[in-house]
Amino acid sequence: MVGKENTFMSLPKSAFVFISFVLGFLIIATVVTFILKKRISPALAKELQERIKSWWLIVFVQLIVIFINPKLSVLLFWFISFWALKEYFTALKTRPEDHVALFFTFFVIPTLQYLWIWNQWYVMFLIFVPVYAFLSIPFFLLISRNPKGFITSASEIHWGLMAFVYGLGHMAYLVNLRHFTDPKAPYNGITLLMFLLFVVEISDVFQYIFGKLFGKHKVWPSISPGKTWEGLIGGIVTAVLLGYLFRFLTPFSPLESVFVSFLISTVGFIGGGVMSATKRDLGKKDFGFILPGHGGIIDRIDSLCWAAPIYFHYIAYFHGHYLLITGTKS
Amino acid sequence: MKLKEFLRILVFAFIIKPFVFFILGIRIKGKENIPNNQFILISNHASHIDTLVLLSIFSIKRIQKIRPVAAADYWTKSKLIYIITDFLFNILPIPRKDITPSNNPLRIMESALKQGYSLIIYPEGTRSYGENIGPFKPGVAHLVKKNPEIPVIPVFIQNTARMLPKGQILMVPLFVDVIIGKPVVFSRETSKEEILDELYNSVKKLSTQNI
Repeated sequence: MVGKENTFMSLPKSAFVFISFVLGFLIIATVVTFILKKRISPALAKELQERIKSWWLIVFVQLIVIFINPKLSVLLFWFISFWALKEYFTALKTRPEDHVALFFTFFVIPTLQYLWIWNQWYVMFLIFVPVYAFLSIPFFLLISRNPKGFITSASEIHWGLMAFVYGLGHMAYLVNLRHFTDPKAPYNGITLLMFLLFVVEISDVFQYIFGKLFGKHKVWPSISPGKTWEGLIGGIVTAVLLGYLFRFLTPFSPLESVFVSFLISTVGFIGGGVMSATKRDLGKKDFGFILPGHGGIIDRIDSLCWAAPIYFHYIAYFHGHYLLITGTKS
Repeated sequence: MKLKEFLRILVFAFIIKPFVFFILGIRIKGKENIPNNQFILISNHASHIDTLVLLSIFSIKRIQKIRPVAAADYWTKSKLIYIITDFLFNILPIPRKDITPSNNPLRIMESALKQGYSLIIYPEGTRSYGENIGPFKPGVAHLVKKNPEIPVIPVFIQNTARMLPKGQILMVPLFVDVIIGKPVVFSRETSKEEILDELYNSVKKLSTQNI
């Protein structure tokens, strides 16, 4: 269960520095929008205000969880996975024959996956969705004894689990990481998670801002009409710059922090594109309207679903030897 | 306040509403169309979830003055089920068959309206399979014709047919999309057939809106 090392006071100082910066950013953003309100179009002003309000909400919820107990982030991510699955399967046209498999997909697989994460059963966490879920879901689809649409159902269900439970779950697993040799190191799982969230989201936000300001050349208009090369380059450059400045949250060397920031913001962009393509395929603009200005939960976490596994496995491969990632249940 | 009402408030505040908003999750469109006073709400019906969701839209205080009209042959068949549904949802059981002048469903509904209750009516008379809206039973038109001053709110509920279809025990927690239409008011001259048609079309029209 919750260990002593997971109390709020055990957070490294760097985490507090980071939190102050984020709150500062949000305050500046709120003030700037308020000042600009009169000068820009009312529709844009409303969109900006809604987006910033959603950011306040996201940061606020994260902070509450971290303040109560950082390890509770695992539960928060479980809930986000659950809601993302809801949005995804509501948007799809599921067959009545999928009913039992869907029940299993919603309640059993995410619960077990987050249980492995909570208990730090590393190998199980890695193989559960790609192997066991992959093998067991078709079995539940066989119960209905109707092969019509079987491949579509099996693929759709496993795709959703891989993106929203497996991919997203990597962020939750980060929370478990601790420095092997130096428990007082200025970084741990929480600060590594903060770095990931910060760089990917900054890249998203500045892609939007640079796109609005200078956007002319569309990247892939048939997939996401709003994404421009100007926005993309501006967003990634800003993300790399801020990633370099905030490298104190991580064990990365200066050059490495530039590389990792570039990697996760680029992969995040691809993740955003993948979810846009999914929406276009389903003929929807947004996955929902949970967060004002952002659409649904999926519209906010799309880039993270892709960036999180890449970031996680980079750390596991290059830093796993002294950050606590072991091959067996601890 | 009666003990029953107090307990109902507790159950709605701590069990039903959290379940509906955090596990099911409802996405409402047109909430501003709900009038502040008495109403008759008509909706398509595909799942037991429908009543839970429709009641949860309202504030706990208002729920006390709303009664879902329910089939007596289904809901009062077992004493225990009746006690629970009566306690939780304050259902108004009406007979679907063997109707005599003394248990006329119209009279039961009218007397509830006279007591100031708003009603939730599923004019299809039963749960449909899937999202196709079945034909409306004429009773609702009689009721509306006799009480033209009470506005009728058409509602279309989406996805509950996929979540807990008729005959299933396991629930798949998709989002419930609730689309609430503008209140419909009829003049005294409108015939019952016209009322029934218009009510049907008002719900049907909502079903074609993309949420």
